[in-house]
Amino acid sequence: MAEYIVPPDEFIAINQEKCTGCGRCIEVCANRTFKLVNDKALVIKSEGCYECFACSLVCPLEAIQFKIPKGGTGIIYHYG
Amino acid sequence: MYDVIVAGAGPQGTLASFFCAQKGLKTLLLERGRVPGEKCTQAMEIGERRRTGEPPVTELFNEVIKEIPHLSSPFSQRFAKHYVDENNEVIYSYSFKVPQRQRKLYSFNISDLVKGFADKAVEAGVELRTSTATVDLLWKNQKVSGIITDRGEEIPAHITIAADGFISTLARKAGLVNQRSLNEVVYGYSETFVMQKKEWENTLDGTRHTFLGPTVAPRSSPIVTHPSWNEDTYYIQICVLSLLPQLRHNPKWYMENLKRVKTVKTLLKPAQGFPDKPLQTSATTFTPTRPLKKMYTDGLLVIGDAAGIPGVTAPASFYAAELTAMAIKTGDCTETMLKNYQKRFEESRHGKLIRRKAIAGRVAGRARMDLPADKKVRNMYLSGYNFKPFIRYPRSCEAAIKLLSWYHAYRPIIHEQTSEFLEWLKKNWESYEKNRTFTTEQ
Repeated sequence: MAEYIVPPDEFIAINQEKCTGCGRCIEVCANRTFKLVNDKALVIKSEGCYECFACSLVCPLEAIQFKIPKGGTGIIYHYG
Repeated sequence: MYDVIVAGAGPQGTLASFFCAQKGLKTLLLERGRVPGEKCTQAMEIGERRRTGEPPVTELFNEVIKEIPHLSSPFSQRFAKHYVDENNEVIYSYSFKVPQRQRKLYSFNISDLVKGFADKAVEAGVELRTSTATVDLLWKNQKVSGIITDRGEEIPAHITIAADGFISTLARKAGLVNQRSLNEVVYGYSETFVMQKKEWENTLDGTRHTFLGPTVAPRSSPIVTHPSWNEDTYYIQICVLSLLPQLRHNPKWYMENLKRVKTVKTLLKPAQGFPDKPLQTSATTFTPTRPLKKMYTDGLLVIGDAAGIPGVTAPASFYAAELTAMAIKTGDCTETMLKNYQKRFEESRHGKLIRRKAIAGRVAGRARMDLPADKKVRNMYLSGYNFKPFIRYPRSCEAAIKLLSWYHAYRPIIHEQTSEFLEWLKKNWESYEKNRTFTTEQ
């Protein structure tokens, strides 16, 4: 519900080998970016990501790599 | 070649760049948003006495705030707290009024403030480059000698100041961020609505409401008012705050429950788009009380959220700028010189305050013991830091404020026994009303 400019590259990467499918990232993400598919978390919709980084922080195995979206893209907060 | 590169135009990044330029340094300020302040999520309240900053910071703040919309009076005259049970019903509320002459609280949007700071910085001679993210550090002889942007451009500088927010790519690349304890990370999710000033006066009217309860907030859920550039409207922000490990459901789940509480419905009914179409939703993480163990390395200083020193007017930015100027003047940009920045910060009033809070957080573990509610509260009392509200409350309600503040602070720990605690509070509140003291405290 905020303005969003879609970044040219995918900026959230999940290391599928490390992921155990605990679902913690799904629990904390307000944008519902992740989904469990075959007991592994997958990025299904990074558009609208709030860039709060909670997903990479809560991941117990550090499987989520959060790169910052390219300059000038991503979420825009007007009333911050 | 630049004297100094400041990565990140947030509140403290813009401040640091301003002070660097003021001292005659060739300064470059980089921002990943299209304009400064675009990535700032929080609206903010600042009490006048909270501005523990150095005089130059306070002066600049005063100058900038004149030009942007902000609220001071008649804002936050009343504080109201509502305890909500599992069925989203308010079971206990209380409110108190802060005497007019003892209160001075400003409320504003951080992005507006940052734009003001950035304008001042550019005026002072800072070169501002927006839409540029910093992805890595430039190394030379194992010393930081600049940054690399997301376009692959290498920009050298004598000193780099990392102010790139809580996730701080630069501090991580420099190896300064250790595994962060999640118990110290606060998560905030908020939704913003617009309300006409007239209607606001009939409902919220300067009262700051906070909701507490297992279904509505793991930590607390305040409703905060902020000014807009239009004089007739205000922004109303409802927030769900939590420590990251305490977040047991999706933040949206808490928010939906919060909107189901009758009191919230009544208060926000006149707001445009309530409850389904907020003007803006935002989420953020930050750590309020855990500065980095080491905030410097050869050629690099870390400030702001990146260093675990949040606060729009935190004096760390000023200290960093001062030390940068000194280092460049003497030509010594090594660790030996830059460690004085951290020393200066730790000795400052703000540094001591943060340290006190951090210690309190650690010893709060004592309250975790498996004890009945009143003993637990006693423990909280013993382990709590000397709570000094930035507003002077009337003496008569001081004890209550203290206790409730502690309850508020350690709420996650006693979360499981909420109802037990509330019963205790209810029982003792009567005696408090009568004798102006809590029975367990006698």
